[in-house]
Amino acid sequence: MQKSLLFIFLILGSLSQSFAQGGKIVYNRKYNWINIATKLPYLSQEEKDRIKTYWGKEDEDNKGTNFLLTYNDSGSVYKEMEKVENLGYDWSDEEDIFIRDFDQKTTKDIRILLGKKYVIEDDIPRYKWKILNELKDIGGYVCMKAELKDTINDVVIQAWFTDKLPGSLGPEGFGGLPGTILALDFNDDDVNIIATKIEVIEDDKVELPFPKKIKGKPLKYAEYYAKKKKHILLSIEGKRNPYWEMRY
Amino acid sequence: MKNIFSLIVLLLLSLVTQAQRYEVKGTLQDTLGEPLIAATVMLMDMDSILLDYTQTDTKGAFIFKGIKEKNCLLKTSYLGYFPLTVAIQQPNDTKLDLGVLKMTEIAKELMEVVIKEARAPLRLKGDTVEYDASQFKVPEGSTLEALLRRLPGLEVSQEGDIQADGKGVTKLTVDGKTFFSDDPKFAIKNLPAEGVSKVQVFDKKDEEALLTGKSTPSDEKTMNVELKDEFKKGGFGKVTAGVGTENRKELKGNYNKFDSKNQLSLVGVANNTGRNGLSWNDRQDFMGSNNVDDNDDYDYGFANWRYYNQESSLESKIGNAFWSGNNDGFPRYVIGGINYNYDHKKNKVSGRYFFQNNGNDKDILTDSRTFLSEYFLDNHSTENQGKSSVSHKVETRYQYDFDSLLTAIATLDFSKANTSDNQQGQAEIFRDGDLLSSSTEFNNSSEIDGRLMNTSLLLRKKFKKAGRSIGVNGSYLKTDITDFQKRFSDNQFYNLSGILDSTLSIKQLNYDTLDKTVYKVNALMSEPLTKKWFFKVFYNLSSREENGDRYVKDQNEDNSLTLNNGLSRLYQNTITNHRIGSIISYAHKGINFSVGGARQLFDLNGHYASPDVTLFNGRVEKKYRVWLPNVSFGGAITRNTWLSAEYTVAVREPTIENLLPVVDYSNPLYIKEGNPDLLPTYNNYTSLWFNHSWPADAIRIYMSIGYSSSKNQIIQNQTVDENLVTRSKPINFDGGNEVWVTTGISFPIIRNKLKVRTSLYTTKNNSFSIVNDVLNETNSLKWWPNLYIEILPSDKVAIYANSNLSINNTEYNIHTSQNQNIITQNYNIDFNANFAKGWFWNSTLRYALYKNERFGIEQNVPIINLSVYKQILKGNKAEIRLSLYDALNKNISVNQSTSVSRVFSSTTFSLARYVMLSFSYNIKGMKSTVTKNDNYW
Repeated sequence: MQKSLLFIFLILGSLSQSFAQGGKIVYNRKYNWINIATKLPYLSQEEKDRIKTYWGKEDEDNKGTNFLLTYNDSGSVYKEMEKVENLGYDWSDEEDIFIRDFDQKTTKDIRILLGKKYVIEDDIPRYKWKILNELKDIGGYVCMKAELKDTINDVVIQAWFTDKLPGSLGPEGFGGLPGTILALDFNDDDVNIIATKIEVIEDDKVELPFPKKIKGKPLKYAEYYAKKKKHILLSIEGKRNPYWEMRY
Repeated sequence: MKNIFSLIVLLLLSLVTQAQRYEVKGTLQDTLGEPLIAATVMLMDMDSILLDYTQTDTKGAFIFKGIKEKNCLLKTSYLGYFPLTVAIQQPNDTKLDLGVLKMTEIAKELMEVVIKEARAPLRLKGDTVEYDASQFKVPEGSTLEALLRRLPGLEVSQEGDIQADGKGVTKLTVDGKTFFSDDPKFAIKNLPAEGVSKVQVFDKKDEEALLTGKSTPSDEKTMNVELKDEFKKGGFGKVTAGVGTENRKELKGNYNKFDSKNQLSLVGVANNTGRNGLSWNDRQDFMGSNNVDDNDDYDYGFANWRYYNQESSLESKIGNAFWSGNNDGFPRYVIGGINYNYDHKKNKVSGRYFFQNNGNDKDILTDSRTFLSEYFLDNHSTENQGKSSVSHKVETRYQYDFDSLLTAIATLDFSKANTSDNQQGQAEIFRDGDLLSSSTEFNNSSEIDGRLMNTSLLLRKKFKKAGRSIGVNGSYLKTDITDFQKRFSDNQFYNLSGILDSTLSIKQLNYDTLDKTVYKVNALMSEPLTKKWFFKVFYNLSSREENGDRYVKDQNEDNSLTLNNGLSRLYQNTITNHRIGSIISYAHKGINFSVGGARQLFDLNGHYASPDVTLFNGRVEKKYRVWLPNVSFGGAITRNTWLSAEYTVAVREPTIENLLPVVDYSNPLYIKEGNPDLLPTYNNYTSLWFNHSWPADAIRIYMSIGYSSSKNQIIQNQTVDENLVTRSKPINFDGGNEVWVTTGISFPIIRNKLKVRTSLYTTKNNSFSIVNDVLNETNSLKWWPNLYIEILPSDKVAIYANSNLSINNTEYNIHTSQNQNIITQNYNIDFNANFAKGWFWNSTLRYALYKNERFGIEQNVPIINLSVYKQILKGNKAEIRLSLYDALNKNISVNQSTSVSRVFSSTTFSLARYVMLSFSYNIKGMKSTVTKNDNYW
């Protein structure tokens, strides 16, 4: 009986959430460099096995990086959360920030590529999502699966989205689905992003945490992707992991 | 009028578009006929690419307008209901009414599981319910039946009949294939639950359902069981065997087998070529996942200068055996090792055994010149060295993770080593170049046996509050060494007119034993002050106790032995260090800065005595207290610029050899004496490291600068008597500094085709010695320019050219006429080609030039190595290789160096020309490419 009540409550809860003004979602982004390295085309099977046996266990300590997606009716900001390093050392790099304006349907993303900082003011990219038949629960939300072919990294991106959070948005600037993306998987666990905390705010106006200054060389997404693609192709040709110096 | 015209145009336009586009509408209801409100409805093309989406209104109705695709799919989604997919075809008119679409409710039990469990143990793929078996706990050894009983929505009767969602499961497959019989009862009673990763239950599907995912009701269910993906299971290995002329042979093999919990590896090497030994890759293969935790015996607090190379072969870890690479002379190696790692959940266990039997025979010619106050001495010697060593090592390690915050690690190592060393030869010493002053024939040998036990325990505790942690570790090491030495020599001394003055025959046997005990305790506590500032306190204790006996016996004419009480010593030495300190550090956004200080206490105790205590009996009791400051910075100052800097003071205690008040007569012309009064040496060390890269262009520049100055440096105080016998004693001396600068740049001229790397290392230092009460200062300036060019015109050809020079300029403050300029030049060209399918060519040309104008030395050593090989067998699993080493038969190794008041040059005769035919087999296929595995800039 109690379970049924909970069930009804959840359904009612998710219905009313449709009228929410905004929210905050914490995503954990895990970069699995062993998976990336062992898929490099120029390595022999022995070299791939060696990476797996030698470094595999090391990667278990990888706790990933937390990002916060803050959204309201007019836009969203996705950026790295502040953290405290356990050992008192911090070797982190500056992270990308994704800023969306839903009214203008534009981006004002801060993207760092090969050591250069760009501000990309462009139309919100349109993605050709393929809707699949699987369902999964993430943080109490039933999610549907969608898939996307990423021609820059030449990989498949899988997204889990829920129509119970109505915003057509998600981590890393992804969106365009009938609901919010709660998980993303690049190329079968090369990079894995999953929502760990979902907070829907109904009553108050959610303030977007815009960065204090948005400075960088202006660029369009077409040019950004061209630069990225060029680096990947040159690195693979030179037998070097392109993601050593570039965000996936 | 105008308006009417516009209206007509509009009407026409809308007619045109209406002709191409259509709309679709419908209403969603549940099976009881209630409308489903705010359900998501998606419109997709036939590849399931999302075109548009909407939500149903309060009556459950939806509508899509302006559809242009001929064929579409419509998909609905509503919490607690199976998604519904409907195929749509363009209607003849512009409107298509799908009417009422009914969605089926998902069994409540299943839905609760989906909602409650964060790590969904259950997935719904269309109409398929998939259970993640690992999320349902069953006792070990259970069958699949026991597992199925735990799955929500499934019922298993006493007889083994399965019901899913109220329907009978009539078919069971394993990985999609029939398991012996179609009867599910047979399978569920025979399959172990442990091997199952997923259980899927679904209705029988027809072709339409497979395409659209639309569920068609069926009275029977099928169950599919997926076995665990043994993706992590595998093995790799290779073996190489070769035979050559000059009786050269080599054999090398390794094998690895691993799954998600276990790793087993074997390595073996036997050769008398000094080539094809152990490499970094072999180390990775052998150690497996345990490599990273290889050194738990670390000191907390700020880093000390560490002198790993001072470890004796007995104390050296197994991992260090993989980078020994001195191949001059005629080396031979026999190496074998086995390693096992078990790693599962909270337990990590590893153990390894390593065996080494190495030897080397060398003939060495040595010339050296020593400057004394009024004259210089030249020493010409020829010597044959024979060395062999046998060692066995066992290392074990156990790690237990109590939880994600508390970890304990225990290690226990044993090692046993035997080394024999023989040196025989002769030496002549000339005064001022041509006046013979002495000659010696010597025959020395040493036989060392050692045993080691080393154990450690470490505890690491982290707290929920990020940045707070405590670490404690302790270790205990014990070694026993016996060293039996023979020192036989016949010496003739000549006077200034070149006439034999005296002779001396030495026949000594030394029996040394040394017991050493070292224990260490380290503790560290770290506390965050804010999110960016941290405070750490640390404590280190290390204590070394040595008990040694040296019994020296003189062999008499009649071969009887007499104990030499004057040279024999019994000694006891304890050196204890306490260090306590604290650090304040800042860490934020890639910038790290820390300031710290520590107080160190040295407590030195020693007792030295002859077996006849009336001859010699001395004690040392000393305490020193020192302050140790430390400042460090490290971080990315811009996105592509890395900068680090450090100032630290390291204090090193004197070595036991230097503290020993034992006179060493092993070389009667060079008598060494210890000094129990020595103080620890201070090194003030400042360094700066800078790196900048342009990653888009593959360009990198770097520079490092370091400066060190010493206090209480230990230098030799030498006195040379009229018979040219040198007595040397270490003393403390204030002074001596060194500065070094390295700069380099790496850039492509043509990306991925032509790459250049160039660097320059330069160092300047001064050092001191005292000869016959005169202070000698030596200033040395070294330049090492290096140029590397990589040419890769195609996938089939690779050329690597490298030149490095070493220019070593030494200046003496007293004997300025002896100032030296030693130049070593090395040029290498590698040419590799894949000249036909499966055929490869490797060639190396090395040219070395050694020059010292003052000594009149000019030696050229050209080495050419060639090999051709062919890949064979399916999957290129094997290769046959024919190699010619040192085609010109010129291989020797030359060593040149200068030190305080001494210039040294030696030539070692080494293995030269031979031909070898070898065969390699690799389970995973040989990787043959012409390029080197070197992809850094």
